[in-house]
Amino acid sequence: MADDPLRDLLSSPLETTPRRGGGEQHQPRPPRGGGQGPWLVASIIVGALAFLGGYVVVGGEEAPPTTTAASTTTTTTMVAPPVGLLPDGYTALGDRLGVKVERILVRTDAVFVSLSSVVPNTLAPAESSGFQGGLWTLVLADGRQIGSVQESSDASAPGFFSVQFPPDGYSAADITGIALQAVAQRSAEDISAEIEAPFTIPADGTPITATLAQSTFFLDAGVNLVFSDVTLTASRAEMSWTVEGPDEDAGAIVYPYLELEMEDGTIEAAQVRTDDPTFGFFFAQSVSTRPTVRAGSILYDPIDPGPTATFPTDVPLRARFFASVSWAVYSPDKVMIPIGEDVVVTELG
Amino acid sequence: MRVPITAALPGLVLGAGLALAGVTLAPDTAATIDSTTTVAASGERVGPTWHDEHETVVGSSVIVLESLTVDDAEALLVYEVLTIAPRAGGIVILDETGAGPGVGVTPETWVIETADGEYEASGRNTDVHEVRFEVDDQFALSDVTGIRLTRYRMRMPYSYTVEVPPETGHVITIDDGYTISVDSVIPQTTSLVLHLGLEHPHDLFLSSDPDPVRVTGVGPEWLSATPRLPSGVALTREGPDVPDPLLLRVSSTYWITLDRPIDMNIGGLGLG
Repeated sequence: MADDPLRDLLSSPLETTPRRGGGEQHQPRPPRGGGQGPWLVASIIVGALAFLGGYVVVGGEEAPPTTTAASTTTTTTMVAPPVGLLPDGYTALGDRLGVKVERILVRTDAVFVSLSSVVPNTLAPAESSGFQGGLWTLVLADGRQIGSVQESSDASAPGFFSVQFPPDGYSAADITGIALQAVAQRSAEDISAEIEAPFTIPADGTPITATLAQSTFFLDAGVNLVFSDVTLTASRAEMSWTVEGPDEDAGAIVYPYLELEMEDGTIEAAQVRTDDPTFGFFFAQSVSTRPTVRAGSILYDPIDPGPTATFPTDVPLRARFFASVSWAVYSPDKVMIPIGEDVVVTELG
Repeated sequence: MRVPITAALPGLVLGAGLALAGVTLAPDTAATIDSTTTVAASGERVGPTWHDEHETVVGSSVIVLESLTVDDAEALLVYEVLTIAPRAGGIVILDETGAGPGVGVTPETWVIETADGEYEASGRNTDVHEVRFEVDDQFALSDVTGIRLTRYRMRMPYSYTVEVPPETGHVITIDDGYTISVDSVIPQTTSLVLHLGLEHPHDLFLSSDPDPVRVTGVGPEWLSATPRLPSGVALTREGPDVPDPLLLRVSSTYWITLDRPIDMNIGGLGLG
């Protein structure tokens, strides 16, 4: 987790940010001419502020923690002792969260187990950042364990999350519990890289390939983010990324940006499209959290409007690539969450 | 040199993107708290509450009964729903009053218990935190022995991908009463337009909630999503090709009904 999320939020990708866990250093960006750098920095800040002006991160309702007045105090040993009391039926996850299975939805294509979460009552809601995610197994009565696919959470459903499992011929009655196997640790970082050498995009549509001066970025122990070359035509640029390394559970979310610069310093930005478009959220109450993944593809369009827009062609270009990257790694844990008798079950098909 | 708008526009986009990335990661507020569970000598949990000494825990919230009054042949119960959920991650869109989506729990049906019988009533919708009971002339507040919540709802998040054959008329059921239908598949010269219908239960109690399901395409080829009336979405994909199957992402936060009776703490009502 970033030490200062606001600073990360408002900082320019042109800055070199401190890395987590060491490893390769960022390519420092050389000083540039043209006088547009300040405009870019200012516009990034304005963009971020405009975004934050319209939307907010949901916080829990502030409430002062109350004090305990129990007649006697004992210390109980648990797998994950909470900092205070949890309501009946809740199981501690770590020291500041309790969870309870509320609903099981069984479909032909997926099974979902939905849980509610609460803070122990020595904490105010805002004092717990909630469940950051994990790796789960569905525990069946016949001893089978089914690994989870992904989790769902959404700011408009505060306190609830769902875990998705693949169907495998079992029914809700076969499920005896879900077991948390590992908890997520989430981090974020801005990265950047120059394209190795100047290039020229042919006007006739012939593709060319450009290579990033740094294509591999160390994210965490056993987790590298690797970008492909960039393939450019007059109307399109494409690239892809993968998470590589021995940590096979790790995943990332990449928000990329590509900037082309002509010899006179004019900067052409590219419009970005990624695998998981977020345009739908403009018509919704909220943005669902996005799952981290192991690979992604990126398309860039000329940002000027019109169906015949092109990148600058037949002129020497330099290019820079930026990305805001968030990722998750997992630490082993072991907590069994039982299925209570009052769980709501819906089975379809 | 061109005007700096070529730098400003992408900067605005990037800034918004960075904001999106940044706020998606909920900060972890540091706190040092003793990891001790407090229990009474009897073994029962006792002690502090989250918001009020007379609260009742319901899911990730507590409900505090504020007042019960009688006027003519109507009893009015007013209550508060307060969160005990941890801070939520992600982004919400505020309404015109600056309020967010609120707590993820809402009561629906209630029962007042008296020595002579029970009175049932239902709340109007998710936004109204009061419920009106029709009572008879014999009803007196002093006769109330208990109040029971018999039905409530929880707003549960689901986000997943589905594979849908590009066949007009194909319907998939994503939950009880919730379907996605392929209304039309329209290949055009340079794009593909997909009209989807989104059906959900017609429920007066949820009438104040907006359309609870949203769908986007998976992959950078998908260009836009536009709402369709009365309930649906039009997705546009680059190129005339029709993928088979269509890979779509579905996200929802609709309310799930729970018929679990919960005895409420009525100690704060002063019923005598």
